[in-house]
Amino acid sequence: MEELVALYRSRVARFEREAYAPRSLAAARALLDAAMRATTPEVFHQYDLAGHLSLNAAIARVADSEERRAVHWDALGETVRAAPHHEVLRALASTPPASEDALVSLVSRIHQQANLRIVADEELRERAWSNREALDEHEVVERGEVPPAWRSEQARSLARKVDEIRALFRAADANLAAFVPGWRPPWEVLDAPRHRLRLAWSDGERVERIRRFHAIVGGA
Amino acid sequence: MPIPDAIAGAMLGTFRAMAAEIDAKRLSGPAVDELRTSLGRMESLAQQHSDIAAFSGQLAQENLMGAFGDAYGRALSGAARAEAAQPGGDTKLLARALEAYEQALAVHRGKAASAPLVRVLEEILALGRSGVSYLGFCRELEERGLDRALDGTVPLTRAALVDELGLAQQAWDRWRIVGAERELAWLDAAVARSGGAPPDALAVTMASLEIRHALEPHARAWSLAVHRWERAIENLVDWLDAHASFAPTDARWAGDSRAATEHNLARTRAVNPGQLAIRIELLARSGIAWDHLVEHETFRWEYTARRIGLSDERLRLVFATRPHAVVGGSPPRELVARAEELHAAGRHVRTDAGRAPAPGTPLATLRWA
Repeated sequence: MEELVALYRSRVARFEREAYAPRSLAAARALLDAAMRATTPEVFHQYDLAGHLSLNAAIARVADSEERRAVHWDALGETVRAAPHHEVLRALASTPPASEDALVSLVSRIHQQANLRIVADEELRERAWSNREALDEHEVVERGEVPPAWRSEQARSLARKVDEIRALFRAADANLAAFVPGWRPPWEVLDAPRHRLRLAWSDGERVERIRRFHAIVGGA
Repeated sequence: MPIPDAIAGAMLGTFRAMAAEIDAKRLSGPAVDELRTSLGRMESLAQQHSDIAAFSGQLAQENLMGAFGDAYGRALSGAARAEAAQPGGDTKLLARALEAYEQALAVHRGKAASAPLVRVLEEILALGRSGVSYLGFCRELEERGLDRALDGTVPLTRAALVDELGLAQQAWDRWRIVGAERELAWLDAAVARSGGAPPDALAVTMASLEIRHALEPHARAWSLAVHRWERAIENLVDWLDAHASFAPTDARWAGDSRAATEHNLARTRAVNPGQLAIRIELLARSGIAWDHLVEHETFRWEYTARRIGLSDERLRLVFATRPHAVVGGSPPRELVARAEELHAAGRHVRTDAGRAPAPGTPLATLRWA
């Protein structure tokens, strides 16, 4: 039993040093307390309520870690990335898993489902940004003043640029729609702080670019 | 028509092998049943679909790979728990753990970048073989911070960051340099704050993400600005050159016939000035006034890094051309003559272009004379 007490004591000391693990600290203290009161492993097992305290400790570790991640993404304004961490915290608080297997399943199920939403959300931003030069070229041809003799040729050139951009989007949209049924680019989402902060267009230019995306490729 | 066997094999092979491993271990129970159900559904979808994107999309929508991995983990951990509960289970757990550390050591031994990690692994193995019990082993790992040294991989991260900084400096990559410098400064400060103990892995990851997140818009704005002025300069070079005597034989305008080449030349002469006005407007949206371009940090950086392919003489000619580039206008004869002269002597290009100077070389820029 001394070994078990020593193990839990060192774990408590560690969580005391780590200010960001309050639940883990409380759970480790409960285990240490049970180990100190028990005289034999069998008695400890009773105090541990057949693994209940150990399971609580595992849940606490997960909850502390999820909370740190949630706070981190919230601070960056990344609400879509923060969402599954909040969801795990809510699920753990409302119906604590009955086993470590159930805990692992719960966490992985929530994160896997969220991954599709994260991919679709960030795909929109990255696709918009990766078309920055194509949109510049589109604007240059569309607005550049040319002598009358060249206007019809420039109009054809503009139509080709539109076709090129559309072709790129058609292929990518088909891929994304396979993962997210009915997906169409929701361009206005680019105005959300998480995207606005990471796109390097000024506010005015971003609004203009969203309008241009709608005009060229359409959207949700 | 089903997904071709070779492709289904590439996509599902790992899962088939994992299921075979479970069979070989003769495991059973609800987790094993779930795992088989998931694999069965994946196999059946491979038969139903012919389009690979639709197939992988449905796998993702039904979360079949995730469900499989989850059931697989539970099947194995259930077996390990059953084994540990038997007499002598602790000894087996210790042996398992040491086996895993040995495998990790075999992967990292002999790699220069892994030296700090190898030291930690060797210390862990020495501890495990010292006759300590499994519980004693776990406690010592925590007390000596050995689990964190592995988990935080901080020694590796620092070595990798120093390498990254060196590479970014060699490449004259402005924002990569700033990122690596900030990550290193954060790491050193965190280690100093905790009295030399490495920060945990999650703290390192989050700090790194925060730093990159903050720099990303700057890096993106920078690259867009560079692209915009490069295209404006190119527009002016082409416009002036399109009036030169060498233009009809220059690859930029080569068409299938003489008439086609002439048409291409006429287009550049007619169209470029109007488009230049828009390019200069785009540049202004990136916060750069054309008349002050050479003083802008992006220009000075690219100029010093020798990534601008034009010679100083040619660049000065570009700026001299700008006032004449108006719709319906033509460049003065003396500017065309200068372009012809530079071109003939090969003095239009920068001779040391592409050869980056030593990292830290002070920034320079184009001088007007």
